[in-house]
Amino acid sequence: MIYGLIDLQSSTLRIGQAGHPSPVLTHNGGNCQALGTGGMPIGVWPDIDFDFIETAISAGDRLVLYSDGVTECLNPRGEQFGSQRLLEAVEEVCGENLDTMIAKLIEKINAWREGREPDDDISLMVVQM
Amino acid sequence: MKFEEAKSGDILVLTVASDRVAAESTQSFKQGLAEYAAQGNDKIVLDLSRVSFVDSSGLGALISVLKLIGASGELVLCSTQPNVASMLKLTRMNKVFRIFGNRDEAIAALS
Repeated sequence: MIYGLIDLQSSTLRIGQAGHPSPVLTHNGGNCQALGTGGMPIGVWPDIDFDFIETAISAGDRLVLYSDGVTECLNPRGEQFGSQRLLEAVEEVCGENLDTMIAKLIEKINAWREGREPDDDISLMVVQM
Repeated sequence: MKFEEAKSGDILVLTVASDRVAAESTQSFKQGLAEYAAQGNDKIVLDLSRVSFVDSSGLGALISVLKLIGASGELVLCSTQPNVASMLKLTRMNKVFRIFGNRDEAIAALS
């Protein structure tokens, strides 16, 4: 699970990461960074200190959120799409308008699958500040 | 889910004989491990050398068996492939399970 707060007044993004893959933040169509390094999933133990990340955001920045079905998406050779490949894909398309960016990311994931049926849901969301 | 068994003293070494521990096999995976635990095996090395993929349900099954074994026993992991090691690190399971590079190290740690 991942939970976030976008504070438009202070221009900050705060994310609580509970075992969810690290989202990618793009800055004005340029710099892209994966946020966080993971965290313990919800419900494992009664008392967990969850990982929180806080970062500054600006108008035009985009936050790419996705399910693990994206990075764990396998091609017919059993290779995962992976977080590095996703980061590179985001870097490649982050300069496009929002709809095109999303369409191209989905295109890349589908191209990776080469027709292989996904084993898990593939969910992708991009939030533009 | 099949496991290959080996014994080293009072330590049971189980090699997961599948390349995936995911939704379609989690139930049998959990059931199999639970049966070993119920037989009184409280020191278990789970060899994941053949497993290339574990999803969140597989992770849940591992945690469930760990809780079943309880504080008096040990369930440790060894020989994780890079994808699985990465997932265990992302979910901080490397802080919940002791994870060893190979079977010998795992057995030595439990001995």
